[in-house]
Amino acid sequence: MFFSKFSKLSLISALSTLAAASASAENRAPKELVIAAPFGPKSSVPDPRARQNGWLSNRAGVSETLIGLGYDMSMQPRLALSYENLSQTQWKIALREGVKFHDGSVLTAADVKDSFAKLDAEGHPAYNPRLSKLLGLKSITVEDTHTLIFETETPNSAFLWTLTEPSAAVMKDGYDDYPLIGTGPFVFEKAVTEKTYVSRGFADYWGGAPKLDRLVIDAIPDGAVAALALKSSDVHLVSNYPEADFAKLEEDQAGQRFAASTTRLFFYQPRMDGGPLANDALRQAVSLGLDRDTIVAASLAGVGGDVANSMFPANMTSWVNPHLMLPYDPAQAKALLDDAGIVDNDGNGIRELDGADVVLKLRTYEGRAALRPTLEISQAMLQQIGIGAEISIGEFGANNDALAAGEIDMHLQAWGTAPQGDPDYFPSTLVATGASYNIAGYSNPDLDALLEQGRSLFKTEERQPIYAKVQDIVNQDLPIIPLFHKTQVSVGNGKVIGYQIHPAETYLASPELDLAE
Amino acid sequence: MNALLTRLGGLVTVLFGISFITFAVTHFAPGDKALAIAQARYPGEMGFDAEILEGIRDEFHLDRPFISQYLHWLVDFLTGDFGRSYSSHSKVWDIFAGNLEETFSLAITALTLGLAAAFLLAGLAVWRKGSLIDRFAILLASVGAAIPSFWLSILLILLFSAHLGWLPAYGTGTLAQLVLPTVTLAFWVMSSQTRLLRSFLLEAYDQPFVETLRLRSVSEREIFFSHVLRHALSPALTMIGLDLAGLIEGAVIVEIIFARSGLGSLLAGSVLARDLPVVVFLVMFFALTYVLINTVIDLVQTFTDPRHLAGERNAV
Repeated sequence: MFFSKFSKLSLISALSTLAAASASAENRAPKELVIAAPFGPKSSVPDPRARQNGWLSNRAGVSETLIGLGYDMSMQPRLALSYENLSQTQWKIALREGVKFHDGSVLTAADVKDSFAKLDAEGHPAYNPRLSKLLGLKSITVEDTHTLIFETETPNSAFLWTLTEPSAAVMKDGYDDYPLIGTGPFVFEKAVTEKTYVSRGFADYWGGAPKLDRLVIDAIPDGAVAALALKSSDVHLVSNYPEADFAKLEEDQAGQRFAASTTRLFFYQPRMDGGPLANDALRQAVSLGLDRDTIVAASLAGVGGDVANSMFPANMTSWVNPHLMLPYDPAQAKALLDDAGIVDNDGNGIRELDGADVVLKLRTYEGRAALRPTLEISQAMLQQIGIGAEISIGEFGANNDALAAGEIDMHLQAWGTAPQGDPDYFPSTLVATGASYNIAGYSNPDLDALLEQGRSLFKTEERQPIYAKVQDIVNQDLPIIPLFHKTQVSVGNGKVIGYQIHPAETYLASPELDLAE
Repeated sequence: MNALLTRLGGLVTVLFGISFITFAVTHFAPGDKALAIAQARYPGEMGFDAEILEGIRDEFHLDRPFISQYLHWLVDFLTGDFGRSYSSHSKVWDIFAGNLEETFSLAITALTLGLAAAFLLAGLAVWRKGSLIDRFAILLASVGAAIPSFWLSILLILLFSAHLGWLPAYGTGTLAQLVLPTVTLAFWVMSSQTRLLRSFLLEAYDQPFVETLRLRSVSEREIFFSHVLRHALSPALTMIGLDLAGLIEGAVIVEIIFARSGLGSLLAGSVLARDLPVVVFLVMFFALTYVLINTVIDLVQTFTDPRHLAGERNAV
């Protein structure tokens, strides 16, 4: 009797414990990480392949590309396990096995072919003529379930790099329950235009189930409000924290701080086919007279930028030429100008070239907060070496027209120098002879030959010395005058785990991203 | 009837003029328009292949003369085709409709709250003219007029979100998220309307009919509610109408700071992204709102105020 009673009690107790444990597991508060970002999605169902939608879905871990970019900007296997160059126009790509789409179906080579075909389908949400042009595909052949052959119209050494672009995502056509079907660690839930992008963890992710249950990326354009939202615990992480506030945290050694250089370069493009800056010595003196440390300190609170010594940031170890320097040396700048006969004869504080005061017209555009102060500080610095400067703000395209027409002497700009990780994009677009954005009229046959050689080679180790030399020539000739690379600064609430800033600013979510209890 | 037709004729002329100016400004803005469209489509990208830009020129008929482009746009606009956003490719109307409710609810809530507070304060100030309440009302109205919305927004977030943790710092969709933006805008309405209402009420109290009513032993309560208030409402209505129109635009700052959906943040985002179809449509909408509200107020005053009616008869 006693035993029977005891057994019953034990049984009830065990069942209660089990029930409680099970209830506890079920009732565990879902781990939701809320991130404040300056921009939101462009539509309620933003297909990653169209326009720049992939930027956000790649960050949110919803979509994935065949090849990824590592934190040193080198190529990394992603959905493709390996890639092999068969000829100058053919690439064999072997897919990772066991990859599942968010609807549970298994990724096959046919899915990849279908996804890329949509880039050319006018009217389809994935239509992207820009990416299609960059890829220059002639055909995609499915060799077997997990192998494809990509063939380009012409030899294109940037092809694999272009596959790292977030728009080159592999997606399946969506439907009501799954409007966007990708393969990433997070499943798209919903988006509100310019406001929020919500995703949930994908348990069947090939790289392991994510630690977070939900990831919310909220657009808060005002950095000060984002910082206050972090303070009020409305968000857990601010991806683009205000630089001045970050500097204060640095000073106090407070907050969970993250900082890393990006490939976004702030630089001057001087007019070289006429006007005062066609003079090599004057251009060199301008570069020597710009104190890049002070520019970063004044315009980005000393934490929002890394002084540029080449077109690529120091953390882009795969391509940067680490031996280059762009020093601040006003004494040398003055000596250089004196030697070139650019001196102040009339004693008005401004040096003269060909009998006229050297007063450079500098212009930039709105859109990036650091541009305007950089222009203002440059004006003051140039004055220190006897060069006058008039500054103004215009519109990007109009400024290019003005530079081409000789109405201005330098155009201050900010570009991502390697958006796909390929080192050829930036020099071939801005400094190669006749390039579409070589507004300054610069031409150097040696540089052109190097760029052509670089485009014809397909192995990274063969290309590295070529692009190192390209950076060297650019620093010597100064068809662009690099100033600094933008540093992204983020602040977490102290509980964010597995977060890292990517130089291309296109990666954020990973299965390891977590929030401590 | 004549007044109505004249007003409507004026409204159409004004809107036509605004459409022409807006289109001309965007058309003749410096820089390559195809490049601007490409940059709106692919934010963050600076350089584009010539072929891409050529495709955009063909797509938007950018090589046609200005008048041809304007007429093409006008016909589309008048037939309800407002175009598609450069950056999202969504229909402009759908984007607009998706944001209208947020701004409208914010504007109406702020106006109601602000007006209620303004009527109360102005009423009390006039009731006890020269008292502490009156001075407080004048001070509050002056301070409110001097405080910029963005500063007040940050202050409210700092206090109620960051320090007290009572309300969310940003966002759209819940009632709690509506509170701080509403208070910000309502404070502006209250400040401007308290000052005006107070002076309108005092002006009404100075009218000879008030003294007559007092001599006829009409109670002060009845004089205020039945006569003075009614008299002061006519000019106040004009200012309230303008405030409503101003609120829809004033929402720009508040919506950006509180990261809310709405026409204000849509306009700011579209301007920054150079999404011209959205910008042009919103400019037209705001112009229409202003003109319509003014027209409605004028018409209401024309048909309700005996002096306006008399003026019209005399004019005829």
